[in-house]
Amino acid sequence: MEKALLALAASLAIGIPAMATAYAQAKIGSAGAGTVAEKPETSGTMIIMEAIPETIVILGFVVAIMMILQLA
Amino acid sequence: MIREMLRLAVWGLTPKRSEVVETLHDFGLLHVVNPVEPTPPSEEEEVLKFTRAKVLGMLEGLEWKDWPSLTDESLDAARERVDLGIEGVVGEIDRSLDSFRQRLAALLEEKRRLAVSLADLKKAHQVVFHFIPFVSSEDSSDRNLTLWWVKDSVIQKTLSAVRGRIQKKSSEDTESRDALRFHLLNTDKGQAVLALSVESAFAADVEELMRLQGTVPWKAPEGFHRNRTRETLFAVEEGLKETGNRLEALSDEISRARDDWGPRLASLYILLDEKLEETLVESRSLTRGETFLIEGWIPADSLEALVNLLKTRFGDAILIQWRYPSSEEWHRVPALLCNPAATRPFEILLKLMPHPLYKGVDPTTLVAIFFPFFSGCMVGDAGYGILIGLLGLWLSRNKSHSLLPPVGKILIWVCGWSIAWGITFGEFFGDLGHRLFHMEPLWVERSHAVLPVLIFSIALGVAHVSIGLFLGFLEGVRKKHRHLWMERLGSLIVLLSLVGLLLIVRLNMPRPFFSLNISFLVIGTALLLAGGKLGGVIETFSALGNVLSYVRIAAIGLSSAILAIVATRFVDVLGLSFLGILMALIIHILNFVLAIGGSGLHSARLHYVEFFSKFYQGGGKEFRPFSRRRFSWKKPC
Repeated sequence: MEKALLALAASLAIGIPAMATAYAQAKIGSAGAGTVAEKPETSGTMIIMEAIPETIVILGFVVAIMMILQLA
Repeated sequence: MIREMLRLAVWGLTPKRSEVVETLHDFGLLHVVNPVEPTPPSEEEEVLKFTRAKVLGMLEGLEWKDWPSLTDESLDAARERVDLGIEGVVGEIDRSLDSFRQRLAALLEEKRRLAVSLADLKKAHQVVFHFIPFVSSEDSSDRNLTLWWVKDSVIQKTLSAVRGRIQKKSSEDTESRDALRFHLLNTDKGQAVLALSVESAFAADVEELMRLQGTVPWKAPEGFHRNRTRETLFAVEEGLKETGNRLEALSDEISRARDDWGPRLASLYILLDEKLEETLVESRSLTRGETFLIEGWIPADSLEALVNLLKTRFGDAILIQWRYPSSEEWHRVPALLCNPAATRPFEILLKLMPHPLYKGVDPTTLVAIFFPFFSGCMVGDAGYGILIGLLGLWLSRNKSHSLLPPVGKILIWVCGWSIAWGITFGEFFGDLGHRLFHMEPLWVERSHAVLPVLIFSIALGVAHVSIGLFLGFLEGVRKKHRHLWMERLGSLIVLLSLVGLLLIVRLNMPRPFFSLNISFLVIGTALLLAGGKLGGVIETFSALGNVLSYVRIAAIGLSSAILAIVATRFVDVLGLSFLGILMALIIHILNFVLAIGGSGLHSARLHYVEFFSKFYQGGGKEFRPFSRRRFSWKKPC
């Protein structure tokens, strides 16, 4: 039971931040596309903006890995 | 490295101004600063701009875009041909191009007209193709053939009405059976084309009835209508072939004109652009009585060559002054990046950031070290590394776009590190290397030993962020910015102390080490509070977050390694069959694309967000020398 709960927690640790990141990137992406269409010179900044929310998934990944290592 | 600049001022007598400007233009290393505020354009500028726009319009009309095919030799030849002064250049262009322009306009108008006609004929041909057999069988002197647009919903009603009218008109029922024959073509817009074949005696009545029913006669495109329907249909068919052939011949003629005139017009456009630039520099130079002044920034090591050139040509007719920029005007001095050939391609990664300040830090060398290292670590596969190298070689020799060669060279660097990390992790297209060549990892296998790679990537983060903080500290000291250097030094000490504490606890090191580390932590916090107050402490937390962000190196590497193994497993599951190999190949291609895109993007992000934020200051001016267009021009390093 404990193992199952750990596995569930690990999946939630990466799944929820992944959904949050997807939501944030969708919003940033649509705004960024509009900005780049108006000002092509902002494309670099937009790529950076688009990549920023991914940190949440990375942190979720670290937590998930630590849980899975406990499982092992 | 950012090259040292000097402020250069050239004084001279006004009659010599044009010659001096031309000499500076030929030399091509002076970033001209206009001392006078922009004035309304002179008549000369207007004429040049108009002529330049005219030439560009013709190039666009010709659809000529082959700018990379121009060479310095073709430009020099064009310069010799039009070395006539502004009036001469403009007059020559107008004389020689006006007739061509008219001819081109006529050709393009004819092409447009034929294209419209062809589109109409293609639409009509759909009807023609369908009805030709029916019309041919019904074509006789005693029958009348007409084509009508009818709505789908009223076809039956219309046909009944026509039959009724014919029956009413005819005296015998037997005659009415053959009196009407029809054929139908349904189109996709809720309408149909109805072909009616009636005996000539009923033709006028049927036509009157059809018009009363609200139907519209089908018409051939303009110029293709004939007296008999059959002839009309054949005229459309013939016209379609003929128009297509004429359009093809016209396109060939325009293509020949494009190949013949395109390079000449493009050279002319560049020359006019250069001439306009010279005129602008002249008109905006400072004039005092009979003297003029042109000022600008020049790389310090190019000064001697320019002074020698000007003195040789103009002797005592000009006065040259130069000085080093003061610290107050550093933000106005253009920054010219100058790096060795090996690291120069990485300058394109800085183009996505604001240009560095003069006297700021040029991070190109550090980017050249860490970018391919991180990317290679993420790819971590010798097989993919070889493919990246081949792609890099191809791109570095591709001159179709100025960005491709530097991108290719960066990929070659990434290739080297990918192969090195591939050997370290024992990966060659996933586990294919192990299966075929018994390849063993030199360190760990990423897909099985996740923790060591995670710890290694965090260590990389600590090192990279620490270098960034140290550079920020040096910047603060150099610019005598107390808050900046205290905050950066404080963050650096706190970060390293925390790492030290972690190691001491983990490795059970003696107590004095712990006390020493706590002392450093206190000193670092004090510096942080003194430098940035509460904001400084928050900045340190952000630096810790930045370090954790480097885990992505391991995370992306792990996903890439597992995807490569999955690709090979398809052959295990489906056997050494066509399908198995195809599936493995598709997944390897997908993984390869993700490896290039993902590793490049995330490696760039680690630099832009985590590394540059610690020391990089943008907002500088790019060095834009007043020079002639040279396709073989290389940055003066």
